[in-house]
Amino acid sequence: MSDSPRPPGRPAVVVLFSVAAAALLGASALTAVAIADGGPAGGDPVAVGDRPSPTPRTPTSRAAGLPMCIVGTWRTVEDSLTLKFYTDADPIPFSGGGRRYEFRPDGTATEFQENWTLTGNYQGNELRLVGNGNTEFTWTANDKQITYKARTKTTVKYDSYDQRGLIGTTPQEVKADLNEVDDYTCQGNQFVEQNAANGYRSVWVRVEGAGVYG
Amino acid sequence: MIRRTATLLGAAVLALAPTATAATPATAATPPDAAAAAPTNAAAAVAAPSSPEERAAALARPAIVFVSVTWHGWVRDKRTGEVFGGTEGFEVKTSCSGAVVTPDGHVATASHCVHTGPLGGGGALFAAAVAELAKVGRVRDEAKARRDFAEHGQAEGAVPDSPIHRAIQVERMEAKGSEQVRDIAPATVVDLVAPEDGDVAVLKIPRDHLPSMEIRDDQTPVGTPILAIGYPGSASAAVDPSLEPSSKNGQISARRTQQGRPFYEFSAAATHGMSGGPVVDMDGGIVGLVSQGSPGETQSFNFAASSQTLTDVLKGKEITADIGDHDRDYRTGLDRYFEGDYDSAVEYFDAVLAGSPGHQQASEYRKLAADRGGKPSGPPTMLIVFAVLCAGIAIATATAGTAVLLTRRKRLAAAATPSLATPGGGFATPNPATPNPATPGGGFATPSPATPGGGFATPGPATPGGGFATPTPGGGFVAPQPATPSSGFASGPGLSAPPAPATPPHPATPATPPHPATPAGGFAPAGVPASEAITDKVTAHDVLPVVLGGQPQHHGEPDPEQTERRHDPLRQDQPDEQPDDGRTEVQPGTPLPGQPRPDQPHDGDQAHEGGEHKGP
Repeated sequence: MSDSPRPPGRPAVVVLFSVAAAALLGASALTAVAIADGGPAGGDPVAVGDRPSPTPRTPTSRAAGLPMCIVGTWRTVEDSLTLKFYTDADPIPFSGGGRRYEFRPDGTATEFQENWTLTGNYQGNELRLVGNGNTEFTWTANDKQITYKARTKTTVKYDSYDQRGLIGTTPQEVKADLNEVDDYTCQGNQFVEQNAANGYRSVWVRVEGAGVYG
Repeated sequence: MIRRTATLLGAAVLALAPTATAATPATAATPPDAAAAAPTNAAAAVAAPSSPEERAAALARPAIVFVSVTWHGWVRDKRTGEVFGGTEGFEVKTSCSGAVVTPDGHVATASHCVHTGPLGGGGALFAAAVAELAKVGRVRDEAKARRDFAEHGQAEGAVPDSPIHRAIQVERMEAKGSEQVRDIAPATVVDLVAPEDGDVAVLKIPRDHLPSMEIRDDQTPVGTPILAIGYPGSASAAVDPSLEPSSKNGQISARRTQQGRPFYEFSAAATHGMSGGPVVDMDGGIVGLVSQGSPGETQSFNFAASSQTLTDVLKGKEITADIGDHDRDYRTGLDRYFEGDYDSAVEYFDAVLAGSPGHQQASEYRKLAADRGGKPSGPPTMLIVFAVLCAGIAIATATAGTAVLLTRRKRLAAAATPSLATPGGGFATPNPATPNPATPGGGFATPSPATPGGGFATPGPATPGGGFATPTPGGGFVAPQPATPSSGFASGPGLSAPPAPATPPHPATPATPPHPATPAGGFAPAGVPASEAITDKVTAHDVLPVVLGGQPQHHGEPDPEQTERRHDPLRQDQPDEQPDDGRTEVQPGTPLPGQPRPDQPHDGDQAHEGGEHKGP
């Protein structure tokens, strides 16, 4: 038996060092995880710079072209006009149809007459005016009126018939200062032209040809 | 981290209970705001995505932008000279989608969205002209008419042959407080490849810190699930206008080329307005940009310009496509959110909002995370606290252990008898040349005269109370423990006088088997048969480590055979090597012959404290 104080037990030392080792491992592991999971990469508030907004477009314009509705190819389905058929009689109303027009966007146009026939009546007799040939002319228009500026070229000849038969042939003349102004409406495939001064009215429909796409 | 771990564990548990989780995750088609409005058990629910598509959409959405282009110009038929558009010209607005690819405002979209040619803005003006011509009956077949214009038409500005005017705007929603505002930025074209030659354009908007997307620059395999994201034009016609993009899922159907440029055929539906929108994989990386449909095919037959083309365009302009820190934070925040780690998610989303003010989705998901209990204090803080705590415990316990150890040694030293019995075999002395056989090779000596080779000796049954150097049968750290009846600390009437060692103080060689350790009379306590005592001690102590940081044994490294051979002598010694708790019962036994070495116990302690030798 010993009289000296008993030293601390070995198990206590072992336990203490074991706990120390375990805690050290734990601290290391947590530190490693904390470093690996280092939090957000960003975090510092950033200053928002200038934020320009869209600016409106500077207006641009272009000279007005010819009305796109008029451009194209037309065929008259109803022509009404008053003509002076006899020199010693008042103008006589005629009607008909069948002319074909090709209005080009450059302000030129062509009228095609292939036995275009207008009929009228005078004292119970039928009168006929038959045109054949082509006419080149220039034109312009606004949204209400069309102006036939000049007849630049023509091959048209009109044959006049009454109860006696052909009574005469009249060639159409070139006329540089034609300047015929008619009112018009153009909607879709229909063009209506009229001139109250001379009782002219014509209804056109658009047909296949130049100016049509697809 | 603890909380996160806990929530992850919670998620794992919930995953085993489908009825508990089925109602909680937001569905793929559910936008975050809708998900926020959905009644959920905020405490228990984990907002795991219901599908990979939901996560992909959540990753991609912040970078999706609405690209609108206002075209202005006239159309001229080169054959006739006819100009369409009147005096004011046509003004046409087209819309596409896009994706921000750098935080400083580079936006990727399809080039046909911004190109002035027939497949782009010029085509839009042609279409306007055709529509106008159709009104006046000048169009028989609109598609054919557009082709006519594509072939014979010219879109131009106020001056013939001048370029048409193009105003690109990039729109995106931003969060401002609790409100959402529409940010509209002007954009310029940085570079593009023509629609028929890759169909990719890169725009620049005067914005920074934008949410951006990663670009996948490898070839995406056929069959890869994808999302086509964008703004279908028809959607705004059907519902209130918004900037909520649509995500259409599908997969890569084929890899194609056009003019040598790679394109992907994909099966997701894509309609007008989605052009230029990204096609993303499930990780939110851009695979391609919605390019065009196939005429006459269904919606599920579309093409996407390859992200490789986009990468080429960016490289051509020396633009580094890299997402920002806030984008990485957003991805991490989303992952944390879907994992149910709402604290961390809030922290990351806060960082996103700091780095990318107005980040709408971060704001939305932050709100969702906060609604589910997330708080800004993040796990890293907790980790650091716990790490410091553990370190403190480690220091405290190590200090306490050292103190206990030193206290114990001092007490042992004070009570030790100044002699050491060295076994006759001489194996107990690690270094025969050392005059102090109790000093181990290193500086961490133990009271026992021999330190095990491994420096981590186990207390063997033969250790007489010191318990630091012990013979371990069969182990590699066996310290050939001489049959020392006392390492200097044993006290008792019978040991007050130094016992004679079993062998002369200078043993012959370490290699000598320790058979001679057994004195003639043995050390078996009185009344206890030696064999029984040996058995008990070995069982009780053969694995306890007693030396930390000891040095390897330099001499007499035991081989297994030696270890085996030591069994018997050790066992014979063991009766004297009583453990602490039985030390008072140790009987002194027969004194060993030999000359006492009064300094030996001190050597052991001194060595333990630094290797200083006071002995001769």
